[in-house]
Amino acid sequence: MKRVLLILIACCMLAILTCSVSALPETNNYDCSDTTPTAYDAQVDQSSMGYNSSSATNVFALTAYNRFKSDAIFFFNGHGLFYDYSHKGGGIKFSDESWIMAKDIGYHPGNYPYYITDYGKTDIDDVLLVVYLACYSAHYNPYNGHLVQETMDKGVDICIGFDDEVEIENGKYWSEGFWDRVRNGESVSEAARNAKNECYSHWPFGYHGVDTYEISGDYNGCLTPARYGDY
Amino acid sequence: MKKEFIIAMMCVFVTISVVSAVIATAPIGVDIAKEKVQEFVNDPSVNIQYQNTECQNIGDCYTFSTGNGQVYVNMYTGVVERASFNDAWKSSGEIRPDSAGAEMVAREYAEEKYSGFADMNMQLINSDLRNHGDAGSENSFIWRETIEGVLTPNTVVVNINPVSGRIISYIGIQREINCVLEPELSEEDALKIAEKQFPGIEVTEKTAELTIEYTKPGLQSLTWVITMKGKPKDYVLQGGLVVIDALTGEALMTSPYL
Repeated sequence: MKRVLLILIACCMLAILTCSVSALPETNNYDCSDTTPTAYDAQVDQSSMGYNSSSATNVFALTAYNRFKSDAIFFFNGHGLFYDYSHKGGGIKFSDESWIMAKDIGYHPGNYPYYITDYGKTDIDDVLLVVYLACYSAHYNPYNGHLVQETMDKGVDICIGFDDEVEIENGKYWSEGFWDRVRNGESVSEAARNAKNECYSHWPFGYHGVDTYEISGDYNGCLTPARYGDY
Repeated sequence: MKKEFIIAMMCVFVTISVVSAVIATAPIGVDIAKEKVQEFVNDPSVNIQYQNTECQNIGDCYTFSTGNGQVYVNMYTGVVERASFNDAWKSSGEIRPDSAGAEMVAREYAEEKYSGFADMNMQLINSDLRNHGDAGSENSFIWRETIEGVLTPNTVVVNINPVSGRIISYIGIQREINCVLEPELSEEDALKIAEKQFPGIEVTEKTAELTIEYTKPGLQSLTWVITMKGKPKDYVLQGGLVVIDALTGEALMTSPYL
């Protein structure tokens, strides 16, 4: 009898613990090129801010697309879409030639396209922050639209993209600075520009594309306390 | 007697050398650095708080919060090497300098804050209007010193609010040059090495700059910094940034585009 009671108490405590962990706002971070360990570093910073954070490398687009619906923060570091100099931006590349893109206007790369415009009205409207660290992620592509703009149109609070080429090493450095700074209480815009300035004196000298960041939405917002975005 | 005198003189000389070396490599301390911040911002009402110490290859800095941004002070020289002013992002709408006016504002600030700016061979290597979406925009001016065609680490960045003309941020790095300025590797050979870093690339654009970089903490290296773009493959832009040691030909960094 005593043993049964002990097991029952243990189960209750486990259930409470599970509930309290799952109640934390979820975040997902993706490294989808040779960008490790930025996703993991972001995860660590987000965890210390009180988020229930995960990171993954080279996942399939559908996985990220589905998880996006339960995210408070979505961070991607990898390749951006580039057909040619007149048609660039509007998409981010995951493993096995799978893509998340802004919208479908008849053209798409690979066999596995997933579109932001296909989300329902409330699917991602409680996402607090999206960061697309990829070439031309804040650039309008006549074939696939504008990734930041379409993301914002679905109700996300804050979205960051880049309007030029960004290369891996400076992207990593910017990411490290950005997540470290938001963890320390800087607003999203402060963190983005201070991380940008940090990149300048990292070798080789220069901004190398990280100065083309664009922020849409509540740029003065902070990520603490951990929470979902506004509906 | 003469021998003793020489030994004594040598001892004095060694002592002076050691003391001056220690002074030159000793950190100035947070309190003195704080005074340097006060001098730089020139506002007695500012509440300056020490934050931490940051280490980069170019050197170590004390960082301070001013309530209106951050200021970085070189730990050894006491020079302010970076500053940001958050309230400058707010646009008053009173002044709207044209691009020439904006450059003048930036240059005047650089001359005021960067010791010897006017006497150095500072080249304006970049001036851009950067749009950060809802977070505003900034006019960015970047100068770098050039010696015998080599870009040195001596650089000034002034970012200003394009509407109000106020200074948003400043970067000023000043170092003595202690590496050779003559490359062993030609630009052509450097470009060939860079191309090999991206197997299969069909190059469409390439640039090369001979520049002194801090590739390791405190270590200046003469390098070729190559930017190479190629035709896209699998819907991804090819190429990226390559840094090559201009003396040995070693590729020190290969950083493909995202």
